[in-house]
Amino acid sequence: MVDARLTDEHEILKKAIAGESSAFGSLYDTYQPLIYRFVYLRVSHREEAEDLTHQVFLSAWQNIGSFQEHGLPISSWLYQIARNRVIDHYRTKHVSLSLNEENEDLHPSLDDVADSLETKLQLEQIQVALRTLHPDQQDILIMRFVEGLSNAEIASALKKHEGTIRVLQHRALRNLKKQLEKSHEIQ
Amino acid sequence: MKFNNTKELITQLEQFRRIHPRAEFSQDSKRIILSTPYKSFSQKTTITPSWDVQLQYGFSSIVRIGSFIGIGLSILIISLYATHELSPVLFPGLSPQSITAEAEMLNSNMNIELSRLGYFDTTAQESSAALKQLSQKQFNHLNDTIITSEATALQETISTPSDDTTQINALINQLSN
Repeated sequence: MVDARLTDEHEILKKAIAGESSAFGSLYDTYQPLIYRFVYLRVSHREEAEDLTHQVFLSAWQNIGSFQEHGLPISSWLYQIARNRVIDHYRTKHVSLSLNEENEDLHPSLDDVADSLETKLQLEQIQVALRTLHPDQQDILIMRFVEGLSNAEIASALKKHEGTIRVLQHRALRNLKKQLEKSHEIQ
Repeated sequence: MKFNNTKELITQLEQFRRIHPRAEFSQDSKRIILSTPYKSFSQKTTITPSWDVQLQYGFSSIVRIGSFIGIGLSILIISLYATHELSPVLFPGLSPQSITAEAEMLNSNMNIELSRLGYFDTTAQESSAALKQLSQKQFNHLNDTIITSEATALQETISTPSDDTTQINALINQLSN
């Protein structure tokens, strides 16, 4: 089943590389929600996340001719572009981490996620704590537990060894827990 | 917020999977992206240049290659000429006369050094012999043969007066008798 999906994706990818827009459209439908979620959790602002996601896929479409597989899945390539866009976004805008500002921005997208006000507040706290971590640790937690990627896929997207990913993942979870405990003590 | 174990935290993180982009945004973005022209990276320019352009390009290539070869040959010839013919002029140190003079100077220096070494060797030997002799004289009292001969001589010296005493005693006895 998985092999069939991969074969289909491989065929679609070949067509997209050849310039077939409908094939790229199919890839867009598959990966756009994942990339949007990744970007949204990194920038915590819906409109900025939309803008950056659009830029990621525009760049992917304009450069897909130069994409060569070499065992690298298309998802890893898209995540690489997305990471670079997020880094550029912070570099150019110097976005400051203001809790009030973030809380305002968090509401629109988390409304769909949270069943209750309590859940929504919890998720907001997690997202704020998540953003205090090192960017690599944020990426790993989002890719692993939100996006459900394997360590191998994360390693490929972040250009790191799988062992490094495991270590970073462990540290990231520990740091996130610490941050949440700290915010709980302050409250 | 406190989590008793990591699993609870992971479960909370997994809830973010329900975040989705707005449908209107997705449709608009996709439409805009797919309407932009596709850049092909595999296409090669197949436009054939006209004969005069080809000739010009070919001529310029020939000139370029020829100039490279010419420069290379010039460097080779100059270096060969410099090393074989002009070397004494360009590099005076390489002339046979200067090399011979330098070799002779080195040879004389080496001879001087050798004679100095010979002198040091002789003086060292003489010093060693003198020290040996001195040490032998200084420690004569420790030599067994010398000690024995000295003891014999001393014994003789000591025994002489006793003989005299005996003779005197005999003489006194004669006189008293």
